[in-house]
Parts: sequence; structure tokens; C-alpha cells
Amino acid sequence: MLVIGKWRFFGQYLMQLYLPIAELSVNVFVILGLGGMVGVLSGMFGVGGGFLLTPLLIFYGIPPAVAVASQANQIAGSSIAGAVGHARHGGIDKRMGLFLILGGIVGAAIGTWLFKLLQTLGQLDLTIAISYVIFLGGVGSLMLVEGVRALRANSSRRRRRKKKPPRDRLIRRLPFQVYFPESKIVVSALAPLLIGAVVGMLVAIMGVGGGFLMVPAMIYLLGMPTQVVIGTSLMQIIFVTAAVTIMHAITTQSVDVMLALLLLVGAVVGTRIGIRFGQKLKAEQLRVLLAIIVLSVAVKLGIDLVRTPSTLFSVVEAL
Amino acid sequence: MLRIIAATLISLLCAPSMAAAPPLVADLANPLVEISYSFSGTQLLVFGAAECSAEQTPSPCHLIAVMEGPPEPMVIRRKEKRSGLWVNGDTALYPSAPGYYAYAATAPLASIAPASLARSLGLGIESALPAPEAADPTLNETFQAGLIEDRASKGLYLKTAQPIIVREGRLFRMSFPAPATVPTGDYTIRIYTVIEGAVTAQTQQILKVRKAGFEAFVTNAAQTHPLLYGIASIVLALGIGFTSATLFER
Repeated sequence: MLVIGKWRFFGQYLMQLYLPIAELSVNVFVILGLGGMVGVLSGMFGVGGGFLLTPLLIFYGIPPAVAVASQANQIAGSSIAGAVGHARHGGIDKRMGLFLILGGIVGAAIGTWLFKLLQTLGQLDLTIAISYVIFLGGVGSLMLVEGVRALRANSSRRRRRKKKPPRDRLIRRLPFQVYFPESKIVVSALAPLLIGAVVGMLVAIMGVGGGFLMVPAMIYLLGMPTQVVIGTSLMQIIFVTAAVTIMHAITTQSVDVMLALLLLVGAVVGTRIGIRFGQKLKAEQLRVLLAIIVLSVAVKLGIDLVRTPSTLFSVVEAL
Repeated sequence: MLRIIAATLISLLCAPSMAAAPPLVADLANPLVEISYSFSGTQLLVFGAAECSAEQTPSPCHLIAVMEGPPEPMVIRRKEKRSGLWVNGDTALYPSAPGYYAYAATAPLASIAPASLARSLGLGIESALPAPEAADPTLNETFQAGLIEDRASKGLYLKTAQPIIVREGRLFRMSFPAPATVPTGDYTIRIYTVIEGAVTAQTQQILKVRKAGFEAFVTNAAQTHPLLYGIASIVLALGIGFTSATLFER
């Protein structure tokens, strides 16, 4: 009896963890579980999942500023895990990556400045919520449509669709054309700079990785070959999320390293499990399932924005 | 001459017993509350001694106590519906509002302290809050009510009195519940003995709430060396990510 009592006492100390920056107490297993769940999704689908974690953290009660900043930190870690795994299968377009990163850092700086401004004005939470509703709603709908289409269509029809050439007429007209040897394409340097900048802003304001926008942009806008796309996008994500983490640490001091590392541990374990699952189950069904999850989170956020809040007042410590 | 000597001797002998023991003394069970990794809220215990009991004659004596957390500037915002969305509208700034507020008494306040005394002692959170600086002064009362509701829902302002338990008319103790989100800083506890609506004795103690150990290190690092903190956070994350990936690859 004494042993059981002592174990429960000890277990109490293991369950609750006080996060020093968020200044609240969380359940360790819930955080590990959230990271793990998202890791499983990301392992199954290869990319994404991180964009679900920030809203889930906010639902759990983590202040949005801390959630966004700590997530950027966590994504850097889980992306390098993905990069190590990918290193065997594909390559990286280093020159393209460099331009994407440069754009990304500028975008991140602008995004962090906006973040701080919105926080001072008191409209940060609203902006993050609206951004996620739009982002998750859009991405979820696209995934749902594509997933349903994939479920219905037979494989030959899908292959024909993939051979469509990328829309590059506008990009061919832009100045500063540069040759990218690893991708063997010639594109305006402005393109990766702009794409990187947009992604950098989203990382800074929403705490996402950005891969979800970059991968299709790289394939369809830049015309990069698929074998370098994932590696290059991972490279950009690692550098830009690292830059955003440092920028947030300096401007808003809302990076909770303990939260980030705890999520990361859950995520890397979950990713391994997710990869195993992904190999055993049908991809199309999983894609529809993920689309439904993403859309549900978007709907919940949207509803919270329009329905009468439980309390009209919010109090924060003045900065 | 002999009478003078006798009077002096008698007064000297009587002097020690005439200097009575202090009527009210208090102490804290834990004067330094350390927030460590497992902190999830705590009870702030105050105890002491006073010759003060409700059964006293000719008039009953009561104890009242107020615990106030460190003053902090707070911004309160009120949501309003614009274009179908709930956004933050009017705001007010409280340059110095207590980070925590609670009070305790041996009997319902209304029966032992008249309103004027309650106000002067800062009893009841409304009297402890200064007026806010709002763009629209007519909203002051609304904001005050909103602030109190918000803080109360988080357990930082306690609207009802905590009981004070008195033993043998001499020893007393009380306990104030504090949630995990209590601010760090110096808390002031003021205790009064009240007879027939007037204060007969008072004392004060300071309770410190500090982050300890690792939590203090992390907070300090984040605030005083933000660049290094940011770099360290990234290095740690990359390290864990890289290590786990290489471990699993094998």
C-alpha cells in the first residue's frame, strides 16, 4: 500500500509541469500527446501537421503569442529530423534554398514586427484566429477535394493530370533570371524571394512551418523537379523557423523553450509511428481523414470568432 | 523622602507587567513560496496570536485580514461585434492593480466593519482597485466590474471572505488559495483586530513568491539575454531533432 501511495505521489510530480514563460501549469502527458498526435499525422503524410498544433495549443489554454513562438522553435527541431530522414532519398537545390531563405528572413522580420504591433494593439489573438480559419479552411478544402477525387478516380486518370506543365509564363517575364543548376531550370530570382517572404511572414505570425505553401509553389510556380522539392523546402523551413524563434525571443520574449522541447519529443516519436502506419494503410483514405480533421479545427476557430464569447473582457499584463 | 523611594520602587516593580504583551502578532507558514517545475497552485497560510475572541465581554472582538499581491500594470479590453466578428474594442489601463487579492474575517464583514472602515482598510476588491485610465471615463465602472470578473474567474481575486479559525480565543489561522498563475513578487498581508467597528490593533507581514531553480533560470535568461536564449532554444531543438532522427535511422 505504501509503495502504491508513494508511486502516486511521485506520479503527481511527473504529471504537472510549470512552464516558466507561459506562466501556467500543464499536464506533461497532454503536451507529449499533442506533439505525438501531430507527429503521427506528419509521419503519415510526409509534410504538414505542424499547422494543427498551434490552434490545438491555443485550445488547451496556452496564450497565442507563446504558442506561435514556441511552435516555430519546435518545427525547427522536427524539420531537421525530417531532413535527416530525407537525405537518403532526394537532393537539395542549394541555390534555390538560399534565395528562399533570404526572402524568408525578410518576411520573418516583417511578420515579427507585425506580430508585436498587433500584440500592442490587442488584436493579435483575433489575427491569428482569422489567419488560421482562412489557412486551414483553404488547405482543408483543397485536401478534401483532392482526396475525394483520388478516391473516385482510377490511377491512369491521375497520372495524366500530373503531367500538366507548370504555369510559368508570368515568371518567365520577371527580371533577374537566374540559372539553378540542381533543378536545371531558369527562373527569376524574385520568385523564390517573394515566395520565401510570404512564407516567412506566415511562420512569424501563425507559427506554421510553411511547407504546405512552399511545396506546391515550388512544383507549380517554379517548376522544380520533385526529387529536390522536399529537401529544399525542409532546408528553408529549418532556417526560417530558427530565425523566427530568435526574432520572437528578442521582440516578444514569448518562446517557451520547455514547451517547445516537450512538444518536439512527442513529435519525433509520433513521426516514427506515423511513418509505420502510413506504410500500412491506404493513402487516399488517410488524406480525406486528415482533410476532415483540418476542416473541423477551422470550423471550431471560425465559430469561436462569431459566437458570443463566454466573457467579454480580456485582461493582460501591460507591456 | 521615604514615600518617594517607595513610589519609585513600586512603579519599577509594576513596570514589566504594565508593558503588556503585543495584542496581535502574526507569521507566515511559508514566507517564501518557490515556484518550481511541479508548481500547480498552493495555499498561503497565515497564523498568529491575538487576545481576541467573539465571546469576549463586554464587546466581541473580530479579526480581519487582507492579502494583496504585487501591483502590476494591466490592460483590460472589451470585445464588441464588428462586421460579424468579435474583436477587441474599448480598452482601459490600470497602471497599478494588485496581482492577487483576497481577504479573510472571523464573521461576515457587513456585521463587524462599517462601510467607511471597510473602504479605509481596502476591504473588498472594489475599494482596493484604483480608477483606470480609459479613453471613455463613463466606462470606468464597467471596466472595473470586468476586471474583477476576469481575475476572479482565474482565481486571482477572491470575492468571498476566507474563514479565520480562532482557537481558545488566542490562536488564529487562515489560508488563501493561490492558483498556478499567481504573479511573482512581494505579497502584503495586513491583519486587524476590530472591536465595535474600530481597529484596536494591526500587524503586517510580507510574503514572497519567486520562481526557483530551473524555472527562474529560464525566465531570467529569456528576459535578460533574449538573443542567447533564442539561439540556445534553437540549438537544443535542432540537437534533439537530429539526434532522434539518427538514432531511429539505425
